[in-house]
Amino acid sequence: MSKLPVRQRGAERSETLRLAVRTLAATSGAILALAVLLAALGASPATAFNALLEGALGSAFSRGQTLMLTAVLTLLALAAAIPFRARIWNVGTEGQLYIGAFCALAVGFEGPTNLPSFVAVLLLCIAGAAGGAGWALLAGVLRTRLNANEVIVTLMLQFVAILLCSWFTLSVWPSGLGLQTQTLPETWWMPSIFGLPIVTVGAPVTAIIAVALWVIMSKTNIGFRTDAVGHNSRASRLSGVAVERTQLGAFGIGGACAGLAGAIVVAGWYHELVGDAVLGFGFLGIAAALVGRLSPIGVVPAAFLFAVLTNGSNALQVQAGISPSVGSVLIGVFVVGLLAAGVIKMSYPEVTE
Amino acid sequence: MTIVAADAAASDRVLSPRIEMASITKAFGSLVANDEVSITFEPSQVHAVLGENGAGKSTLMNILYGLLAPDSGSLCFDGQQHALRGPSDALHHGIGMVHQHFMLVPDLTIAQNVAIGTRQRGEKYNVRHLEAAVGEVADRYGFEIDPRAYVRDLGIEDRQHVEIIKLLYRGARTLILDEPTAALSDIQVNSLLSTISGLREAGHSVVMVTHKLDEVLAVADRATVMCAGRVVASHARGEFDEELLTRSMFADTPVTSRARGEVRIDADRRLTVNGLAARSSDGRERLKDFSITVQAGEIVGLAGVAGSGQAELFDVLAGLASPSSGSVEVDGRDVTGWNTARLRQHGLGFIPEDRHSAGLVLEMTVADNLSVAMPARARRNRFGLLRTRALQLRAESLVQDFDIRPPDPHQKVLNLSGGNQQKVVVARELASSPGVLIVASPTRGVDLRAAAAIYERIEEAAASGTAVLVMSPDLDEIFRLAHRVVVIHEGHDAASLDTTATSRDVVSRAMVRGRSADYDGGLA
Repeated sequence: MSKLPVRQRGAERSETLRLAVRTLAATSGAILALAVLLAALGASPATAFNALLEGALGSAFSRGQTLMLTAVLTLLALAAAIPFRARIWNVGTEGQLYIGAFCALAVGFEGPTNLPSFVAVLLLCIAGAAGGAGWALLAGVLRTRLNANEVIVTLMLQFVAILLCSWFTLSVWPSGLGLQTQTLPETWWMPSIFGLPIVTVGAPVTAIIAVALWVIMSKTNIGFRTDAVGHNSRASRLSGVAVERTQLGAFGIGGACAGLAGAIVVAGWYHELVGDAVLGFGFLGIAAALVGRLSPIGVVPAAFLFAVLTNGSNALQVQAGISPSVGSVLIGVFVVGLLAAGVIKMSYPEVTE
Repeated sequence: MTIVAADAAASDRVLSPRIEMASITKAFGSLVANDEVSITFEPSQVHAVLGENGAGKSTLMNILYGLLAPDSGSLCFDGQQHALRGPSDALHHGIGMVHQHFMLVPDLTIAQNVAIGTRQRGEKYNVRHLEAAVGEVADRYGFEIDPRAYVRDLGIEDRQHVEIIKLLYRGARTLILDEPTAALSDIQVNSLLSTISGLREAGHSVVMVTHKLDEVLAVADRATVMCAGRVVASHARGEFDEELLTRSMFADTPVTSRARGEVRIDADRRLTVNGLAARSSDGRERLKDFSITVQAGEIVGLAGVAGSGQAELFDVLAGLASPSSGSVEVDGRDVTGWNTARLRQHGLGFIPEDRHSAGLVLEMTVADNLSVAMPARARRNRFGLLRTRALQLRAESLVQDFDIRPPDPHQKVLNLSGGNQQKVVVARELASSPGVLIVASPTRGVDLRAAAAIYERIEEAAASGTAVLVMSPDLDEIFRLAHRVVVIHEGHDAASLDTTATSRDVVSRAMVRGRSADYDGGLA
C-alpha cells in the first residue's frame, strides 16, 4: 500500500482539478450566455441578476418557496439518480410524482377523518411513495421481463399519469377553479416548521432521505450491486449478482422518491393539486441528478441552484420586465455546458446483453 | 450504378484480375501479424486461406481489401503495382469482401441494401429501376431472392446471398469470404459451396478464409496455410490432402511438454455433464449431446474449432443460459438450471473468456472486483453495512498473494494492464477455493510472465483438489495445462485424449474432423 506511486495520487488530484476547471468554465459560459441574452433583450444584466436573487431569496416567503422547491427537486433528482446508477434511464419521474400526488390525495379525500395528524401524514406519505414506486415498477417489470426500453415506457407512462390526475382533478375532486383539486382537509397537512407557514417537515424529511440514500449507495451491498450492475451487467451476472432484482430495486427506489415528492407537493406545500404547478419539474430533477453527478448528496446543491433560478426568474417579469423563461434557458445552457465539458458523463447501456 | 451491372452483363464471363501480394509485412506494436507474406490469387480460382486463430489471415485480407495499409510489400493487379487507398479503391480493382458478421440494414429491402452508397451525385433514386437491376444480378448468378423482401425477414443463408449480390452488383470480381460457413448448417454449407463453384464458372475468383478442412477439400483450387504470420504452405488442387493441411496448420509450434510432477487425481467425479444441449442466442443448437467428466485434481482441456459450442457450454455451466436438454452434476448433486449465485455457493468458479465484457467491472476498483462474486451475506455486517475494512484487508492480501500490480486495491481496474486485470479475475475466482473451476482462454491477451503465473495458480488449485475445465482455442495452452484433452466438434464431445500420450496432430485432426476411425486408437 505504502508503495502506491505518487504519480497516481497526483493523477487523482489532477482529475479533480480538471473537473473543477471544467465546471467553472461551464458555469462562466452559462452566465456569459445569459448576460448576452439579457443584453439582447434590452435589460441590464446586473439588474436582472439582482432581481433573480431577490426573487428567490429576498423575503421569508420567497426563501420558503425556494426551500420547498429545493426539496421537491431533490427528491426528483434522487428519483432519476438512483436508477441512473444502475443504468436504468428513468426519465418519467414526473409521472411518478403525479401518481404519488394522486395516491396521497386519494388517501386524504377518501381516507378516515378521525386519525391523529401524525399518523395521517405518515399514511399519506407512504401512499404517495408506494404509488410512485408502483408506477415506476410497471416500467421496471416491462424492462426486466420483456426487455422493453424503459426510456420510452417511463416517458409514455408519464403522459398517462398526468392525464389520469387531470381527470380526477376535474371530475372527482373538483374545486371549481379550473385544473385544481379541492383543498386537502387540514388533518392531512404536513406540520409547518421554523415558524414559516410555507416550510413544512417535507424539507427535513427530504434531507434525511438524501443522506439515507447516500449511506445506502456508498455503504451497503444494495448500492454496491447497483453500481456493479450499472457498470457491467454481464460481469455482475457472472459474479452471481441478481441483476433483474437490482434493476427492479433501482426502479422502486426511484419511483418512491418521486411519489414522495408528489405527496409533499399536495400535503406539505400547496395542499391541493394545481394541474400545472409541477409541470416540467421532472426534467429539472433529471438535470439536477446529472449536475450532482448521481450522488445522493451531490444532487442537493444542484437542486437548490435550480430552485433559485426557477423561483428567481419568476421575479424577472415583475422587476425587470424580462420573460421568466430566461431561468430555464440558463439551466439548459448550464447543463449542456457541463455535458460538453465532460463533467457529466453518461454512457448508454450495452446493447449486447 | 446500373452502369456497373450493365458492364458486367456485357460479356457472360467477367475476368477477375491476377492479384499478387508480395512480401507483405504488417506489425501492430510488437506483434508481427504478417511477416513477409507473398501470395498470388489467380483469375477464376477458389483460393482457400487456412490457419488457426491469430495466424494472420484477417490482417492479410484486410490489406487485400484496402482496410489496412501494409508496412512494407506491394500489391499488383494484372502486373500493375498499386497501393490501395481504402475499401472503395479495392472495389475499384474488383475486390470485395463479405465479412463474417454481415453488414446489412435489417429494416431495408434487399434492393436497398444492395444499393446503399452506390448512388452517384445527381442521380435520381428510382426504386423500381433499382429492384429490376438487383433482380437481374441475382438471376444471372442463380440466387433466388425477391429484391423487395426486407432483410429482417431473411434467414442467415439468404442474408449471405444478399452480401454476395451486393459485391457483384458493385462490380466485384474477386470476392473475399471471411469464415463464410461459420454460421451455416451442413445443408447450407453445401449450397454455399455450389454457389462458390458457380461464381468461379462465371469467371470470378473467390478467396475463402476458413479453418474448416472439408470445405477446402471440396471446393478449393489452391490452399494456402498461414501460421504465426507467415505462409507455411501453398498447394494446388491435387497436391494437398487433409493430412498435409492439418500438419501444416499446426506444425509450427513445438509441443512444450509439461514438466509435471506426480499428479494425484482423485476418483471423485466432481463435475459430470451428461448429454447437454443448448441453443445460442441466434437460436441454433450449437451444443448437442455433450458429455464430460472432470475429477478432483484433474485439469481437462477442451479443444475445438471456434464456434463448436464452447461458448454455449460455458454459459450453461455458469448458469447464464439454460440447457435445452441434458444435465450437469457437481459433487453428485444435480445443479442443472441453477442460477449463477447458487452455483457459486455450491463451489463453482468461473473465469470467462472476455474479461472486459464478462469478467470485470472496469470502472470499479480492484477491491470491489475482488469482492463482487462473494455471497452478499459475507459482504455485509449485521447492520447491513458493507464490511469495508474486512473487504479491504482481504483485497490487500489477495493483491499481494497474486502479485497484482500496482499493489493498490483502490485502483480502478481499467487502469491496470491486461495481465494484471486477468490476475484480478483469477484471484477472485480462486479466493473462494472452488471445487469446480470453469476457465475460458485464461491467458488471452496476457503477457508471458502473467500467463505463467496464472498457469501456476490453476495448477495449484487442481493440486488441492479442484476439478478444472479449461476451454481454449490455443492448443499450446491446453497441452501446457491439461492432463486430458476433450475435443468438441460441432457440439459433441468427439474425443478424449491423454495429453502425455497424444500429439497435437491427433488433437487438431479431431478438432476439424470430429470422431473418425484413424485416431480412435488414441482414445484414452
